[in-house]
Amino acid sequence: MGVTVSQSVRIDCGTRLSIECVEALHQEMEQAVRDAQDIFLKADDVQYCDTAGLQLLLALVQTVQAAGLQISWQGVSDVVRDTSKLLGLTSALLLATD
Amino acid sequence: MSIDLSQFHQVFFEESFEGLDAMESELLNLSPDSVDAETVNTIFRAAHSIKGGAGTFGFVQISEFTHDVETLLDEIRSGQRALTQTHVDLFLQTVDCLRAMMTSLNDGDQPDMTRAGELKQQLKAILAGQQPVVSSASGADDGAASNGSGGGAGVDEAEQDESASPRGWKIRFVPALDILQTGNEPFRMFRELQGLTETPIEVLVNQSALPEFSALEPEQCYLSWTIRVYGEVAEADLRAVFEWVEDDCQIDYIPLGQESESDQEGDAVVATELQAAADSTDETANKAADEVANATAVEDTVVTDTAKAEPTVDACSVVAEVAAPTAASANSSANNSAAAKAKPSRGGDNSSIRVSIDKVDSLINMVGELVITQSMLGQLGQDFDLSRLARLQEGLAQLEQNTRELQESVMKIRMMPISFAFSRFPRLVRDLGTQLGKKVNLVMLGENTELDKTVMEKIGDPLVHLVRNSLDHGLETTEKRKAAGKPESGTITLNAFHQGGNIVIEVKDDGAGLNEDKILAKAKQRGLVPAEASLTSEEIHQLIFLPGFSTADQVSDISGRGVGMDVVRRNINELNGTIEVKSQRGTGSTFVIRLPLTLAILDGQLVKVCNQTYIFPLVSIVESIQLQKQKLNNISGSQPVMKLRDEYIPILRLDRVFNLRRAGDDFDDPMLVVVEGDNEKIGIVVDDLLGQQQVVIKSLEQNYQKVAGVSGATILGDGTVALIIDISGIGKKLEARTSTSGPDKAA
Repeated sequence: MGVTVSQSVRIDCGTRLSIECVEALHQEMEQAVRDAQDIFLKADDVQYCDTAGLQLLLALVQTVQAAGLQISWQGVSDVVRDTSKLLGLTSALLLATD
Repeated sequence: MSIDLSQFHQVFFEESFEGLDAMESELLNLSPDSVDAETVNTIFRAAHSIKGGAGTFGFVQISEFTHDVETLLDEIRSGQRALTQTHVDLFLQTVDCLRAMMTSLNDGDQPDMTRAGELKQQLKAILAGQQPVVSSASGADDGAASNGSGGGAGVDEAEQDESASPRGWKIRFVPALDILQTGNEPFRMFRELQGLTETPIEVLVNQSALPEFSALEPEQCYLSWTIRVYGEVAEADLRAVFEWVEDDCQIDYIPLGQESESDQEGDAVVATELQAAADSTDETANKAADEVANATAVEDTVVTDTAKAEPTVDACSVVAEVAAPTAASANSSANNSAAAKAKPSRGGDNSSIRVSIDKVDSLINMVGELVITQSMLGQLGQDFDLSRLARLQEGLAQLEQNTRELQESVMKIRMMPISFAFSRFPRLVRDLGTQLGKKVNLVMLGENTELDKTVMEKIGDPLVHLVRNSLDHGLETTEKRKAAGKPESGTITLNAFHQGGNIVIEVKDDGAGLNEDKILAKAKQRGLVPAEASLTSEEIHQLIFLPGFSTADQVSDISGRGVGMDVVRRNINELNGTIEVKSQRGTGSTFVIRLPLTLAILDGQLVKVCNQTYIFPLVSIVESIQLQKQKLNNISGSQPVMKLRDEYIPILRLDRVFNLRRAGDDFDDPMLVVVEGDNEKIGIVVDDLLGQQQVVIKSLEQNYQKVAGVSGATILGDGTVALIIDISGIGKKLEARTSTSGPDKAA
C-alpha cells in the first residue's frame, strides 16, 4: 500500500488497523523505514482499530523519530482517535494537535 | 544417602491444588446452621495434608500459614468452637491465598506473604478469642470473596464500606505478551472501566518494553498501563472487568490514598520521564505538550507532575506516555504476586495427567494383543507360501483391529470428566450471586462426561464467561422475578453429554431471555445489519456473537450479553467447535457448545493442489462444487467473488496462498471447496478432491514453526506429509490480501 512521493512514503492504514492485519502492515512499514526520508500516515479510512494496530504505529513513530526523520498524519479517523485515547496513546502517536 | 526431594515437588503441588479444590468445594457445602461433622473433617484432612507435605518439602511459608488454619478447624471439629459464617468466609480466603502462594512456589518464585500475614492475624485473633475483621484492606484478595455473604459477627461494617468504595483506584495492568492473540482487547476493558464512573479515567501507558521495530512481533502486546479510576467504585466491579484476563496478566488494584511510598515515587518517576519524553519529541510533539500544559479544555492532556494527576470534577481524560522503565513498573511486579490468583499457573497445568488404573490395564491388554499378533505374523513370514495367504490376511486384519483399539485406549487416557471444568462454578456462582444480590441455584448435570484434557483446559474460560453472563445479565433480580411470577431463586444449569462423536455443553438460565428488539435495534444502530433488514429470531441471536456488537454500550439490559461473546465464539471455533444460542423472552436462554472429543485426531477432507495434498477439517466444509469460471466476478476489480445461490462468497486460490508452482498455466477443471470459519464463508479453489479420512494432528509449531493459514500437519499412509488448513487463518490471510495487496485473480 505504500506510495512513494519524491523522498517520502505514504502508508495507508486501510480500513482495519487490527491484529489480523498488523503482520502485513509491519512488513510494509519496515520497507518504508528502510527507504524513506519522511513518512505520511493515512488513517482516515480506518473503521476499526485495536491495540495491536496502534502499538504498531507507536513503534513506527518511535523508530522514525529515533532515526531523525519526520512522520506526520494525513488524515485520522475518529475510531483511531477514540481508541488511541482509551489506550493513553494520543500523545505518543502525535495525535494531540492533528 | 540423601534423596533429592525436588523430584516430588510436582506431585506435591498437584495434590495440594486438588486438596484446595476439595476444601473449597466442602466449604461451599458448609452451613453454620447445620454443621456436618464429616464435611469439617474432610476440610481438616485436606488442610492437614497440605501442611504435612509443605513441611516435608521445606515450604515453610505454606506449613506455617496452614498451621493456624488447621488449628481453627481442629477446634471446630472437636466442638470447642461453634462454626460461624465469618469462619467460612475466612477459610475461603485462606484457600485463595494458599492457591496463590502455591502457584508462586510452583513457578519457582517466592510467594508474597502480605495477604497471608493479614489472614494469619485474623486467624490468630479468632484463636485468641477476639473478633476479627474479615476484610480486604490490601485489595489483594478475591474481590468476590470480599463481597461474599459475610455479614458474620464482628465484621466492621464501616471499614468494609470504606474498603469496598474508596474514592478511587489505581490499577496496574501488565498483560501477558500473547494477550492480544487470545482476542482480549485492553481498550475494551478500559472502556468498561470508564463505564463504571462518570469521572474520566486516567490512562498512562508504559511503552518501555516495546522492542526495536525490526524485532517487533506485531501480534504481541508490549505495552502495560496504569489506570486511575475515580469515584466510588467497588473493587469487585473492577475485577469483573479484568476477570476474563486474570490469568493472562499481572494486575494490582490499589485504593487511591493507600499507595505505598514506592508507588508514589514511581509515579514521580513516571511524571519526570514523561516530561523528559515530551521535551525530547519533535516539533509536533512539543506543540502538543505545550497545548496540553495549558489545557483543561483540550480533550487529551499530558500529566506533567504528580500534583496534576489528581483529577478535578471537570478534568478530561488524561493520557500520557512513559518513555523508559520506571520504578513503578518494577514495583508493580512485586505487588502483583500479592494478588490472589484463583487457579494454578499455566506452567503447572499441563505437566501431568492422572489416569485411572483401569485405563492403564486396558492399554496393557491392547499391547499384549498387539505383541501376540506381531508374533503370529512374524512366524508366518518365516516360512510363508501362498497356501497360507488367508492366514496372512487374517493376521493383517487382526493387526489393524489391534492398532485401532490401541489408538482408542491411548485417546482415553487423555479423557477427563468435565467435572474438572465444572468444579469452579459453585464458588463463582456463590460469590457473584452474593455480589449481585441474586439468589441462584446451580445445577450441574453430566459431570462424568469425558473430554480431552486439552479441550477441557481451553473451554474453561469461555464457560466462565457464559455462566457469568447468565448470572449477571440473564437472571433477573429477585424483585423482577417475583413480579414476573417466577421463583425468587434463578437457576443456572450446566449440562454435558455426548452426542454423535461430539461433546455438547449447555449453559442454561431461566432468566429474562434475549431481548430481540433491543439487539436488532442496537445492531442497526451500529451498522452491523442494514436498517431495512428483517431478521429471524435465530439470525438476531447470532448478532450477539459479532465483534462489533461486543463493544456496545451497556445501557440496556441486554447489551451486556454481547460483551466478550465474540471472544467466546472465537475460542470455541479454535477448538473446532460451535456455539449457538436458543432464547425465549421471559423464559431464559440456553447456550449450546459442541466440541470434538479430542484435538489429537481430525476428520479431514484431502484435497490436491498442484502436486501437494492438503487437508480441510471436515467440520468446516459447507459443500464442494465444480468451479464454473463464468460465475466469477471481481468486486471493484480486486477480490474475486462467486455468487452461490443467494450470497456472494470470496474466492481464494490455495496455490497462490502457499506460492505453489504449477506445471501448466492454470487449473484444469478446478473444484471449489466452500468452507466456513468465523461465521464467514470462503470458496477455496483446489485441483481435485481426494478421500476423507481421520488424521492424527502433528504440531507444526513444535516440529517447525507457526505458519499462517496452517493449523498442523499429518503423515499420510504413503509416508508423505500433508498440511492441515486453518480455516480461520486462511480467512485472515484473505482479509490481509484484500486490504494490502489487492487483486487475487481467481482461476
